[in-house]
Amino acid sequence: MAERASQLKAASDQEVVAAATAGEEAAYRELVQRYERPVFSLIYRMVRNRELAEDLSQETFIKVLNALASYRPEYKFSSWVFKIANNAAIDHLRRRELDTLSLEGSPHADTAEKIEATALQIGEKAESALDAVANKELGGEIEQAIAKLRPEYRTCILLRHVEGRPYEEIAEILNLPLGTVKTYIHRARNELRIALAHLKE
Amino acid sequence: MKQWPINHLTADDLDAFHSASLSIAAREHLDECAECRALTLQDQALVRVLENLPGFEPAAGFSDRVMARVALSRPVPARFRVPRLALAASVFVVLGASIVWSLFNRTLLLSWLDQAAAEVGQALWVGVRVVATNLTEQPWFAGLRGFASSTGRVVFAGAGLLIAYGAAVYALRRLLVPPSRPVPHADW
Repeated sequence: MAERASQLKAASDQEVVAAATAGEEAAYRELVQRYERPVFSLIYRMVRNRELAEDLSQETFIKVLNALASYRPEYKFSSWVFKIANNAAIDHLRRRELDTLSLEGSPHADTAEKIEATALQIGEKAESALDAVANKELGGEIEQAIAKLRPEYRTCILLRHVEGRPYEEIAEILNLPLGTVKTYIHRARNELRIALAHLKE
Repeated sequence: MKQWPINHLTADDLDAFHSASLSIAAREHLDECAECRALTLQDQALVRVLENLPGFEPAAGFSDRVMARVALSRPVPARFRVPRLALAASVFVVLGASIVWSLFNRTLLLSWLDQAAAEVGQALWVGVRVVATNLTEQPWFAGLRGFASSTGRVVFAGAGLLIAYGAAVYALRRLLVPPSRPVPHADW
C-alpha cells in the first residue's frame, strides 16, 4: 500500500490519471495532494477569503475528478486543473460583483429592507474572525497590491510568477491569445511596480 | 549630427532579461541607459518577490473531504468491454442491412405496417371506450353532470380553481426567494 503510494508520487501526471481512471482510489488522492496547494493558493489570492477559497478548491477537485474520463492526455493535466480552478474563482468574483456592486442594493431586492441589507455589503467593514486571519495572512504590501489588480491580470501574474507557468500554458489555461497574456502580465507588473514604488529594497 | 531615436527596452526585452537571454543590442542599450537600468532592476526585484511568495495550504484533511464527495469510477471488467469501433461497425452493418432488406421487400413491409397501425388504433379505441364507460358508471358522475348543467356554477367553480392556482403560485414564489442576507449555519 505504502509502496504503491510512493510509486504514484514518483509517477507523471498522465500515469496517475491513467491509474485513477482505472478506478484506483490512491491515484485520485495523489492528484488532489499534488495540486491542493497551488490550486488553493491561486483561488485564495483571487477571492481573499480562506473559507470560500477552500469551498471553491473542493469544487474544483470534485469537478476534475468526476470528469477524469473526459480528460484528454494530449493536454497538460496542470493546465486543465488550473483552468477549472480559475473559472471557479472568476465565476465567484462575477457573482459577487453582481450582488454587491450597486450602491442602491441588489437589483433583485424588492423591499426597502432588502435594499438596505444588500447595499450594506459594499461598505461592510466588520470582519469575521476568519476574514481577520485571511487579511493578516494576505496582509503584505505585495499581496495588497496583487489584490487591487484586475482579476484577469491577477490570474496571469499569479500563474506566471508565483506558480511559474510558461506563457503558452497560461494562454491555454485562460483561453486567451499568447499576445494578450503577455500584455496582461506586463501591465500587471507595471501596476505592481507603481504600487510598490515607495518601498525600498 | 544626426540624432537616432532611442530604443528603450521593450516588454519582450524585459522577459529576455529575466531569463538571461537578452540580445547584444539590448544589453548594449542597457549599459548606456540609466532609465532602462532602473526599470530592469525594479522589475527584477518585483519578479523575485513574486517568485518567493509563500504558497497557502488548505485546512488539514482537505483531500479526505474531497474524496468523500467524489464518485470513484469503477473500471469495467475486460470481458464486458466492447471495443467502440466494433460496436459502431455492427450498428452500421445492421442499419445498412435493414435498409437494403426494406428496399427489396416493400410490399411485405407496408402490409406489416398497415397491420400494426390497425392493431394500435383498435387498442387505443378500446382503451378510450373502457375509460368512458368506467367514468359514466361511477356513483358521483350523475351529481357532476347535474352540477355542470348550470353555466353559472361552472363559471363560479372555474374562477375558484383559478384563484387557488394563483395563490399556490404566489406562495411558491415567496418560498423560492433567496434570503437577502447570509443566514448563519445554513450550510449544513
